[in-house]
Amino acid sequence: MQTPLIQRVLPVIIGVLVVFALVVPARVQGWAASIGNAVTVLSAPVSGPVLRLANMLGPNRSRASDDGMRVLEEENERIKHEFLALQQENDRLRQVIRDLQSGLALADNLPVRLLEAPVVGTGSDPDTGMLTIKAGSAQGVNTDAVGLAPGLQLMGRVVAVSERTCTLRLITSKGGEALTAMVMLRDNVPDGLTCTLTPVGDGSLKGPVSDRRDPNTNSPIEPQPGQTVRLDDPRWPRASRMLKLGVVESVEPNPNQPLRRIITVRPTVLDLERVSDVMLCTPTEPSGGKP
Amino acid sequence: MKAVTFALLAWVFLGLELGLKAALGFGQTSVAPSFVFVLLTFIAMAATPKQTAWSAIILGVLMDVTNQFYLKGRLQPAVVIGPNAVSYLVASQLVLTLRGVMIRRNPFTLGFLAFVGSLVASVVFVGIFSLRTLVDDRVWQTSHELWTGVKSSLYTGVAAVPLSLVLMPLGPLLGMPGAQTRRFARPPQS
Repeated sequence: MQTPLIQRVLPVIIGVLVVFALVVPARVQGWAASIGNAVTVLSAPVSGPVLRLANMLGPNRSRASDDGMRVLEEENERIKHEFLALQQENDRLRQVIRDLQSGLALADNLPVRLLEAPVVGTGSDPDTGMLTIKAGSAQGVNTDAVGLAPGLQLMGRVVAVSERTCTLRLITSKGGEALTAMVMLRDNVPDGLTCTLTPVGDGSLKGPVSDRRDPNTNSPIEPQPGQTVRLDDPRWPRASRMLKLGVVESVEPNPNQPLRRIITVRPTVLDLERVSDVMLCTPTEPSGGKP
Repeated sequence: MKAVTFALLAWVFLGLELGLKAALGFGQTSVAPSFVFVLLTFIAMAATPKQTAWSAIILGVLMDVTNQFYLKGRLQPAVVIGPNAVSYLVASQLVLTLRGVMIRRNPFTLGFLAFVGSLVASVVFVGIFSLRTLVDDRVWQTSHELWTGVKSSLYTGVAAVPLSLVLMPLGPLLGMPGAQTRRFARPPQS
């Protein structure tokens, strides 16, 4: 320890230690943990027996103080919370990927741009069913765009666009326009019962279903609860046609027209006003449909 | 100072530190004596300043690499090299300064110096980690850690008194120039 070289090295080592102690982040010093493990293993012939002896002689006690334990419990809870939040975010992103994949498949013959954007506000009157989305003309959004919720549930159509934001009017907004839709009788076949649905104001849509009969038996084909209802409205942009409006919640007789039924349709996403992210589906070419 | 003896003592005292610290914890707190610091105090009482500085660095780094903690949002334990080494270095300089006015052969001297030195080391250690909150996202309560350090220092001083009965006879084996050779030490072979 007394050689001149070692004496010259000492101030340098002290300087390095001070820098490591004060400045270098612990993440960068991860390699030191392996040295610590090696030192712990090397000291085990002493620490192991005395630890066992102490455990044999004394009660099993915890090192942590009440304050320390509280801090650890808080940290544990925080890690658990972050883990669950990340898991939830992971699930959401998986859903987004599924939606994007199915959205692209849906739009095979119709060029559309899918863009996920956050909802940054609602109208001052919630009954208006307006959502402000943080995506505008700068992102390629136009008034031919429609908004989708997770599961490709149609939320509404874009009614106004600024450079950075756009306004989406929900299909369930009170006083909204009537929609022409189709109650799907079979999956993957655009054949069903035509209906005209009007927003009720409680998050559902209601309206009469057209009368249609089985060509073989001539018996009326009636809608059933649980059947999927898709948009089939020529006034809406082409990109939105056959998108899901919801499922049939109930079927009632029509008091005015005995041959027709009235259905109540509810979106698969229960509260469209509270969706935090919207997938905007914008046609890249001008399409049909006028507001 | 004989490096081999120092290494052997460092190995034993580090083993005691890692093995007994939890068992000797005061109640349900993390207040516990530091065996390694008692060894450093003993060395600082008799060794040359250079030897003391090197001993402080080596023992401090050993304590640093075995002092693992968790950063927020990370599952892998983290280690910081330096806080113990620097605080031990500062504390050993205090012991070097005070040893001239102390009766070295008295067992209570080791206890007192271990207490005072450990107190200074704790303050420096807590200060370093408090500053490190700027670079590391770690759960850290300065007042709690400082108070625990003060109580641990007192505990270290108390533990140093009986340990001095073991360490003082080992002074000649360490080959330190100022090591105690009377009363509690083995008489020199002449």
